[in-house]
Amino acid sequence: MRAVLLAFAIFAVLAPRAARAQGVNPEGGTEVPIAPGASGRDIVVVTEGSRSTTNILALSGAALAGLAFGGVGLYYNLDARDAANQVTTTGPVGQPWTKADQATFDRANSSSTKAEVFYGIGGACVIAVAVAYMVTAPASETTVIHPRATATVAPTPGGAVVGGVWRF
Amino acid sequence: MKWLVCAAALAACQPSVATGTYLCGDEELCPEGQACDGPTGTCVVASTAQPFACMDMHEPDGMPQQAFVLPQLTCVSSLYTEDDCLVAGDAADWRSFTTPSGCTAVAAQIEIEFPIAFEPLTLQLWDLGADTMLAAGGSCMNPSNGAGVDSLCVSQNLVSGGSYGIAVQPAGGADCGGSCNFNRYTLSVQLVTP
Repeated sequence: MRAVLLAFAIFAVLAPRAARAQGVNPEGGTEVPIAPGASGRDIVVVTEGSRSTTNILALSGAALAGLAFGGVGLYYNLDARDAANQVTTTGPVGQPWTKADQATFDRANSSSTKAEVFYGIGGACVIAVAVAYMVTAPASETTVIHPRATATVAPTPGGAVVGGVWRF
Repeated sequence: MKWLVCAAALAACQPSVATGTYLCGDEELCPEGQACDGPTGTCVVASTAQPFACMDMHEPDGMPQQAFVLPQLTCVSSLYTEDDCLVAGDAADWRSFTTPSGCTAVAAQIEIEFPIAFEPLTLQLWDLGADTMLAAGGSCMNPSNGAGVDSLCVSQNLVSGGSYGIAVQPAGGADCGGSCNFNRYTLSVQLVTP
């Protein structure tokens, strides 16, 4: 309590003197800046953009299509592997080559080709989605605020009020 | 592990058939890129395949009168076997034999085996004295052939002291459109008591 009273006393004594030093009539009652406006640290506000529903649906659809094509490619990949395992040999098998073997051989080659095609399409879809995701990324909005603070003093009967004004 | 490799490799899995691992199928059927090797009857890389070749024994033997005479067989004989072949354009291979006299009963068991890769063959048993065909080869009860080989059998009761002929001929057809109209075979003959 004693400290508050002491601060108030100092303020009451010094305020009129400070006002006179600035050429201000302390009885005039007008608030006068006592210090030039000082620029504070800039305030930067970044607002992230949001994707449109259409954009999200398009990217999701393409990604799903890529996965679907990849899945089909995997199916043919496994089918080709099974067929290839049935006829692939490294040593004598003691069996004649039959039309059924030839059909299996052809199926392995056919499924292998299909797997490559579907893998290719699926991969292209995934890459396209990745590129589109980056290209269509919405821009973020940045707002910079330059705060300016000015100290003011307003004479009051028997003293003055010191304050501050901030402009943005 | 192989599954992972296959799944990871976008090239998928293509069949790989090593040369010489499969026997030739019907009408010299072989995997893509391979051809039927005539001497061995196996599928090999096409560039290394050799043409069919054989030493056609006993020629000329295309007529019953030209038949190669088999060694004399007993009433219950040991098994007589012989490898021979029919080259392209050869109409028949004839053999003849006589049944010994004095057998209480006698029957002939005849079998031929031949690769399925080349033109199929037929087997016939003839009574040369009567100039009539007694039997044609059919499926064997207990075929001794392995994979890639066909067999035909004749089992026929005969008369003691008779003269008989065996004819091996091309069956016609299934000859790769004429490019594999030949074959090799193994002939087996045995006289038994029926």
